[in-house]
Amino acid sequence: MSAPYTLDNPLTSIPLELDQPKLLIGEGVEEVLLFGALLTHLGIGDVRVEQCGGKDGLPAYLDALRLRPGFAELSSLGVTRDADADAMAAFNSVRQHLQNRGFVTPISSGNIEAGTPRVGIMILPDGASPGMLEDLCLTAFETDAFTPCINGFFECLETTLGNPPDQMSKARLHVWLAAQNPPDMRLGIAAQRASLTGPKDLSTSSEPFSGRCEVGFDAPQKPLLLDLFPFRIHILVRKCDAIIL
Amino acid sequence: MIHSFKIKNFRSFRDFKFEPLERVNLITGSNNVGKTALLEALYLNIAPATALSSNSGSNTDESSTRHNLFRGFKDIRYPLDNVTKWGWLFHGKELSRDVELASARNDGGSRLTMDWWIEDKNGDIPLTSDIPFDDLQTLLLKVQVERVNGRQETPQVWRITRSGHRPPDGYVFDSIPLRLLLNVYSRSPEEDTKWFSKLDDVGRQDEVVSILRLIEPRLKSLAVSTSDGPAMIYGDIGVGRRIPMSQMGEGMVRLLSLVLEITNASGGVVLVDEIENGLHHSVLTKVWRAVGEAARRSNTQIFATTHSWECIRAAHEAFLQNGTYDLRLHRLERINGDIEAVTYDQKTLDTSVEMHLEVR
Repeated sequence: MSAPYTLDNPLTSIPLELDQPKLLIGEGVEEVLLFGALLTHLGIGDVRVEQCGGKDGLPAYLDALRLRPGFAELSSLGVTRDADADAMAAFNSVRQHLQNRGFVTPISSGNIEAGTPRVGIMILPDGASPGMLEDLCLTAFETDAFTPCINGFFECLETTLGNPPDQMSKARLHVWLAAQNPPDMRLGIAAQRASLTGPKDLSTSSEPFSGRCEVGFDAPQKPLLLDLFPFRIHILVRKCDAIIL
Repeated sequence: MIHSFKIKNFRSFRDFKFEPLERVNLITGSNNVGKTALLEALYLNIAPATALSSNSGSNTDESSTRHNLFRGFKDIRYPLDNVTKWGWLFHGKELSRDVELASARNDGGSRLTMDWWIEDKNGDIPLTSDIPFDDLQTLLLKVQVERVNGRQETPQVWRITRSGHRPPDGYVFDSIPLRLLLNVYSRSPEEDTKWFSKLDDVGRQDEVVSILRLIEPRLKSLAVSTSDGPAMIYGDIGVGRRIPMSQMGEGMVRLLSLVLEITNASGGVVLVDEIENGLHHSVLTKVWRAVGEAARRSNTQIFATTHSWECIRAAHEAFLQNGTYDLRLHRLERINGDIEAVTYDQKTLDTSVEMHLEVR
């Protein structure tokens, strides 16, 4: 797999090329790092992951995408977005932006529409609930031994300050990350570190995420994944013995 | 200003549209995709009288053209004893398909066609593809130029045969000025000196000096001097004596050449091959500001090729700073076997630069 999943300095690196037949678009750098780590772990090498610079950046990103060298050779395009308060509104917004630019679009989150390129849309965390990428990740951590500590921390905060943080799922995830070693990793970097070693190694290693959980695609068989990708991206959080975040 | 250019059956272009065009047009794309051929096509269409004349001074000797400048030949004689030489200009070397180059300007336009004929005592006969013309003694290539400048003008026809090269009757002229800045051969300081003197003679030195100051703020004035031998341009940067421009660095010399060509092609077009050559990346934005300013001031249109991401980014930033965003980026790309132009406007180039997306 090429190496688009890094925090390159844009002034010193070469411009981003469409170097794979499939393209997965996330809102920001966290999605790029996390999806990249996941794909690396799954051994899927024909998917490029990019960010569109936030939900408001999607229209301009799509306009530029259609002009890029290699766009004509793109076979599949997947767009992910946080549901925020309304998953249906988020889906309709992404769908409209795609349709306005001549893309065929699926009728619901998690589906693929045949076309050139094929297009899939996935609203996080599950296509129906309000929330975001971090909600998806949190469900992976909910049975951790120290989850009651995190709960207690936020109960204490609410008692002391009188109101919870605006984005509770992000706040909870960052507290969880702060409990890891090292304590200052962002989500995407943590995912990348964990993905550097495979699940077998992790299950017996002393890596920080070892023995936690797995974030994976709903199709466990790699050939099926390759066949469907993108993007029936029902990203599921499955409990397991090893973290493969 | 040319706002649209169309090519049919010329070199690598089968059916090509180049639009919309702006004051400054930056052309990029991979190797061997037709960037130089596009400049050649523009040259032939805009300045046929120059392109189809010989540097050797005689238009009635062997056929000779200057458009081969782009391929590294200052002058090349092409007697029509070998169709292959002229066949290079035809798409896929299929001589039965006529070449057509058409430009549209706000105030008119022109159309150049090239097609093959057989000379006959009863009149020229169109060549059909089933004639084995390679050995024919009577083969004729007609280059016809039709111009519209407010009114339809009589077409001009160049006749190119084995026996010679016959330009149209009467005075032959280009409809708008055209200047070239190519890298395939070294540009002589004498050329810059000649063009600078022409501007200086009519009191336009300040136009050049003010633009060069963007790179060298100490520059006070320019002057032509022969104190070191041949006439050269010297600059006064306040260090006691004037310094030859050639000693001020390649960037200054390159910018001087650019500005002189743009200024001298007032109302016309400048074609620049690999515009970033000789320029350090740290001055590219300033150079583009200078180029944009000179082009606007002289009402000159620019078509420049580049392979450089830094050059493209610098151009975008410079034109954003200028306030007037009269820049377009065009990438030539082979799509389903044919070359097409993918054109970026301000918004799409802004997104691409901001997100560091490949555009070349």
